[in-house]
Amino acid sequence: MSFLTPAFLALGALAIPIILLYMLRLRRREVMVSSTMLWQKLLRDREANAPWQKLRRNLLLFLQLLILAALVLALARPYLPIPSVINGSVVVLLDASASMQATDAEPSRFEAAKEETRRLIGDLGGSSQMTIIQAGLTPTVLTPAANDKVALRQAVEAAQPENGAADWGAALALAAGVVQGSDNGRILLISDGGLPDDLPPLPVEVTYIPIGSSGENLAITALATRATEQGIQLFASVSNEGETDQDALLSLTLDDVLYDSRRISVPAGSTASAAWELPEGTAVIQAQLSEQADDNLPLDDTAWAVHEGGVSNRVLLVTDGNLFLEQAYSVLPGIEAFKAPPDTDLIYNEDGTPTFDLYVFDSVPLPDPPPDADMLIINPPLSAASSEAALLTVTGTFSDTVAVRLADSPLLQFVDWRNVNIREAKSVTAPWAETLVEGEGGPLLLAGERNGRRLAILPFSLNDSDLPLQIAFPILMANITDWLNPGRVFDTPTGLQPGDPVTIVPGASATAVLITKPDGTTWTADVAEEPIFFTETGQLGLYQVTLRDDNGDRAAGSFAVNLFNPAESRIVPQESVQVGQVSVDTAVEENIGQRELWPWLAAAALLILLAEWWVHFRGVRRPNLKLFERLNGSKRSAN
Amino acid sequence: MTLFDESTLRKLEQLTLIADQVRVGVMKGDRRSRKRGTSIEFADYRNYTKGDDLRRLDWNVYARLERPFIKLLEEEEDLSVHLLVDASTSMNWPDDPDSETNKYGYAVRLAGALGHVALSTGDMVTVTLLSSQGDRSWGPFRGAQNSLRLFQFLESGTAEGITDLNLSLRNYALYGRRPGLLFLLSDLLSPHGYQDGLTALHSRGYELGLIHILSPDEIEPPVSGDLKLIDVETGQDAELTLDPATLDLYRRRLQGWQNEIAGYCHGRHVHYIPVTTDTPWEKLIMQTLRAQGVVK
Repeated sequence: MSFLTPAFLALGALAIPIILLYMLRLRRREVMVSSTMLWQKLLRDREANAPWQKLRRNLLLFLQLLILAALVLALARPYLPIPSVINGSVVVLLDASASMQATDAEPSRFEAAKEETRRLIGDLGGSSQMTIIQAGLTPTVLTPAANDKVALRQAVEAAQPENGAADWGAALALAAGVVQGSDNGRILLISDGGLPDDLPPLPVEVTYIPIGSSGENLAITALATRATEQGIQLFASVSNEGETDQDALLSLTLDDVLYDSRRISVPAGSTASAAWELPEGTAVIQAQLSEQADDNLPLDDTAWAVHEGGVSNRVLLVTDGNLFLEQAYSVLPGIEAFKAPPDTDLIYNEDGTPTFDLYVFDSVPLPDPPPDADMLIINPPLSAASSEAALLTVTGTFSDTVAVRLADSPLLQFVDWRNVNIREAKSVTAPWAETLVEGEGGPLLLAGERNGRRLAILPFSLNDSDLPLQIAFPILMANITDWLNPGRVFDTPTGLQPGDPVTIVPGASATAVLITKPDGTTWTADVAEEPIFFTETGQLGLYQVTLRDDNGDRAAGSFAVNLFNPAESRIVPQESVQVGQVSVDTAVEENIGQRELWPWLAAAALLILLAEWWVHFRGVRRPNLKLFERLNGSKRSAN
Repeated sequence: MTLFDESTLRKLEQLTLIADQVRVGVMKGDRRSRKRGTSIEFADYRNYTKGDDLRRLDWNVYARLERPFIKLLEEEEDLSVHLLVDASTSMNWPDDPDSETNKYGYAVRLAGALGHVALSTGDMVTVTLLSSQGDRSWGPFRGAQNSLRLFQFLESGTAEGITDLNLSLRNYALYGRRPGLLFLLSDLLSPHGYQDGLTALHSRGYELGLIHILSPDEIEPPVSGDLKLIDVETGQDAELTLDPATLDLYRRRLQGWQNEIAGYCHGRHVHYIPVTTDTPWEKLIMQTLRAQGVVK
């Protein structure tokens, strides 16, 4: 224990006048009594019975000295050095990544981190300020710089762990911004490690408070389907991130029905794989690990996969023969391409509805009327204005085909048009279409919507240009086909991770998109302008997509969000983390905090003062009023 | 005449002191003696034996029964009454000698009353003031005509000096004359105790009455705080802090002391009469002493 203002201890000399006053006061009043015989007996009795009676006579002095001591000590402001890192302006970075849900700390690492934060709040010095930042998918400031412990505790209480990886770069940048300009800034990382190696250096001191003790974890790190000739093939891999070999039961549930359970052994630090042939028509696959010996992170024991093979788009190529086109469509995923001559009768069903999802007309006249479907029209032939006035008009040809303007359109994404040479192109006008590639002589690519259908026009023959020889061609074809006929209303990369956005393309007829999250809540968005971004993919599991149009709700498939993140599954607590060029080690319990004790001393002084007052009052009370009455009464009666 | 007024004296003259055990008279008095004697009060018959005084033969019985019986008659004799007043300084308390509750004044008045009663009934009265300066004695005298002199003697004395009760009482027992009924009027606040003296008196055949006089402020000390208590008799001091707890302890201590005295007296057939000086002395004599069977 040390003192902040030890000079005040000199006031302890006030004890001398107190003692002097007391000694003066103690010059006892002399009172004559008839005999001290009884009193002497009393004295002997009391001293024999209680040796401390002598002390008790000095109780008041003792109490007064105690009050003085407490007050003087309080003035000297003693403090206890406490193991604390809290002083000045402090930023606490609370790791909320998925690995913090590991249960090796009771009840979870995140709760332990919260507890640690609460302890830090308790140690917060009087003039210090604390900012708590939750490092999650996007860093969140739980409390801005505050000294209000109640508010800080409430903020910590409300913090929830997330299911994805933490964006440490952004979190540290935010923290650095908070401590910028304060003299005594300090950043505290409460984490289980797992920080990326390429973090920028920070201008202030960083302390790392590690959480977690065990790294044992068995995780499903991959679950994917592939359509093969034999059917659907499922591939799963399970990795053991711990230090002991483990056995586990991997169960497959297909569309909510248990399909297979397989026991797999995963040696420490390695990965085991398994493959299944699944029956046709399987859509939703759930893989579940169970019966593992030591698994601290339940989050990655379950994975979902959605097989997308069920839906494929039928495309009819109406052409005299175009190798480039056929090749391009044969490799496009999700496309089932058919080829037909110009005079085909496959365009319509018997009832007049289109038989295909997408029609590609290559250098052939359009049927009359054109099919009520999405169309790609390549090199439309010159025609009489009357017949095609409704759709497009081809007025002639032009040969100055150097592209002068490319529109910013998804159709041209990743398309390099600079080296494309075109010998001759048709002059096409279509009022509904937007020119995407503008050549010197006229449009080279047009696209637009007409009567709820999407149409694209390439007004030149592929054989008259070197476009099919360029890398741009398959990309352009894929873009155009995707745009013309998206097939699925959403497109998800395999291995969608928490926080990844999902683009929803609901199609022209839909008015709203409903997405049911794994916890049962529903997210709704009105279709206004395409595309719709769904970003609330924080939960792990299966998301059901429903489209709402004039005819009611229509299921449009589902997608899965999995924690396929080796960095998060690797939950081994790290002893140190690397920030910038500096390796930040575990915070040593430093005795740099101080807890001042004067309030307690002042309170003690007050209590002793009360006790002293009580003792004093009790000591001088005159209890003999009755006797005086009796004396007076007897005098009267005697007279 | 300051001790008593006329009406009080009249009242006192109707009283008689009673002694149960002491029947040793030498002069003819008003009291029945245990001895058979010559009074006119009949007591009993016994067979005649040779040498008996024929004057005491009951001739009437002899005439009827033809057998000689001697008539036994009551002997009536006087009582020796001793009044011992403790005249130590501690008795002169409260300090004001004219105070109603002054113990010495009270004791003197009580002694006067008892002496007057005894003189009125023809008893032999000896009054002694016990003091370290030498005991002052009055008597023995008998006869009501001596009351005035008794009162004068009592008024002339003062309470001062130290009294060693044991010593005084033993001396009294040793040099005492006729044992009889003895009243000790004292506060018993004697440093060396009183038991030996009482025992000496008892063994000499005195019938004892112990009137234990305490003033009210000795029972309930009206003081408190940090005090140095000084003994008016011995000059000894005691430093005490009087808080309610201590006062309570004192009261219990006092009660225990009185109980101890009472127990001692009870075992020796001593009449123990504790009295505080705020009790009217008439009430003490008329009621308390009557209840104790000391007077009737």
